[in-house]
Amino acid sequence: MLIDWFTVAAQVVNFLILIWLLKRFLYDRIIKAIDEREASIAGRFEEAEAREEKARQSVLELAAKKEDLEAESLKILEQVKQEADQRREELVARAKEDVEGRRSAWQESLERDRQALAGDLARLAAQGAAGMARQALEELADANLDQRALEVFLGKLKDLDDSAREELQAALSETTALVVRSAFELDQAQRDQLRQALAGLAGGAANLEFEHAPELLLGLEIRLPGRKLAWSLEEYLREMGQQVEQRLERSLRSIAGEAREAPQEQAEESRV
Amino acid sequence: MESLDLMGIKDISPDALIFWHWQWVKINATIVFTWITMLLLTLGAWLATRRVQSGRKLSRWQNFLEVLVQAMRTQIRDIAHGDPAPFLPFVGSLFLFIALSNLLTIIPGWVPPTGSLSTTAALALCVLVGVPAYGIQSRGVKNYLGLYVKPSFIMLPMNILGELSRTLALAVRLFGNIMSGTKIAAILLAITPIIFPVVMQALGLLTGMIQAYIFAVLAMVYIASAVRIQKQYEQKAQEEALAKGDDNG
Repeated sequence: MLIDWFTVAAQVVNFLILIWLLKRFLYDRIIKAIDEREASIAGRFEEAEAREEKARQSVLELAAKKEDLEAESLKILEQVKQEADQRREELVARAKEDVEGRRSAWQESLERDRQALAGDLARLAAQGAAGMARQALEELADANLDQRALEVFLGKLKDLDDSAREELQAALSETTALVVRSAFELDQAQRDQLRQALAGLAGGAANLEFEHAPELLLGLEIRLPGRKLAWSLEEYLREMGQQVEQRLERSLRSIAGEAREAPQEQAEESRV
Repeated sequence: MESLDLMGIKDISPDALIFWHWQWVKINATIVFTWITMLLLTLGAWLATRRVQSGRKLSRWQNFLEVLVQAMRTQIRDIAHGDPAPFLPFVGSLFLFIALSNLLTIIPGWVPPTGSLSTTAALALCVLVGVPAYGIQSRGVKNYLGLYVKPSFIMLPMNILGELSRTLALAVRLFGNIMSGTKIAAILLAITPIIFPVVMQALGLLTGMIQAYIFAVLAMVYIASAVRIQKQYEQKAQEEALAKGDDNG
């Protein structure tokens, strides 16, 4: 008999014990270790993935931040540029103002100088001419010349225009005496001549007062309110002085015009 | 050969080699060598898993056992198409016990307990009881017993016969292979003492491993057919295919 039933039963028991032993010492422990390892590996993978995700996020964040910073720096640069431009314009404007102010001050002083010079020149010329004329007339002056001056004055009185004549008549009709100023002392005959002539104009006796005025140099004058009837050398001299002054002013103006162009050119150069 | 000293060439079964007996209780070579095998297995497992590591570093023995256990789990999963956890202790122990007792035949004087029909019968009986046990646990008594009358009631004797005959086949296949292996080795050793027996021993090792594998796999196949996880697996496979399709979509 190949099968011993006691042995069979014993082997069944042995096998069941073996199952229990192996389950206890082998399968459970090994499977637990494997499961734990797998779990830890899975955990590590998850952790790595989470870390990777975090890294990706931070990379994105950093990129965004970098873009922001670049935009910010560009903005700041633009702002600084604008401020610099503005500042430059301000400085240029101030410089221009400064230059303009200096130029106008210079021009003003130039004008003052010119006016002073013109005045001086006119005065000098007038004085010179007057002095010359006075010298000549002093040398020439005699009774005949004075008489001639009186005749010329009388002729002028005759040739007066209507308005002047009316004013003269009005002045003569006043109670106050009309002042006749002459460069030379009038003698009685000459005074009568004048009285007659004025009386002829006024249509009545003329109340006159005679005054010696050597500054007239030669000639006579009658002062009315608002008008002066005269023929004297001083008149000519003054006219001459005025003409000299006008001529002088014209020539000075042309000089000042040239001078004004020169600073403008300089200002343009400095702007470039 | 030492085994010849322990067991005569005429002794087919190691059951006959009785070391100690008291009335009907006897301690024969089969039981003793089974104990030794069990001791070696348990001791090895205990030593390897004494300081079990779940970290990155692990001992070589633990690594070896992990590979072994994982391989067994994979095989069971492939056959059962489901969680291998409930079947691993039973099927894995069958494989480990048979494999080790066969492997140790290279040691002179070793009497493989699997060379005893009593041992193989005992293991086959365990399978015979285990199959309905797993079936009932999985499907319930009524459903499981219903399997015997399918497709019709006429098939009941056939099914029962089939159940018994495959158990017998399990026992006799293992016993015949291992017993014949050891006997052939012994006989050849007597005829041509040099070289040739070594080849036969190597062949015997291969046969022993294959037999361990066949026994465990067949046991698992019987259990799987009783549990009928097939249907559940198909459902699962369909669901997985759908899920995959969704992922791809």
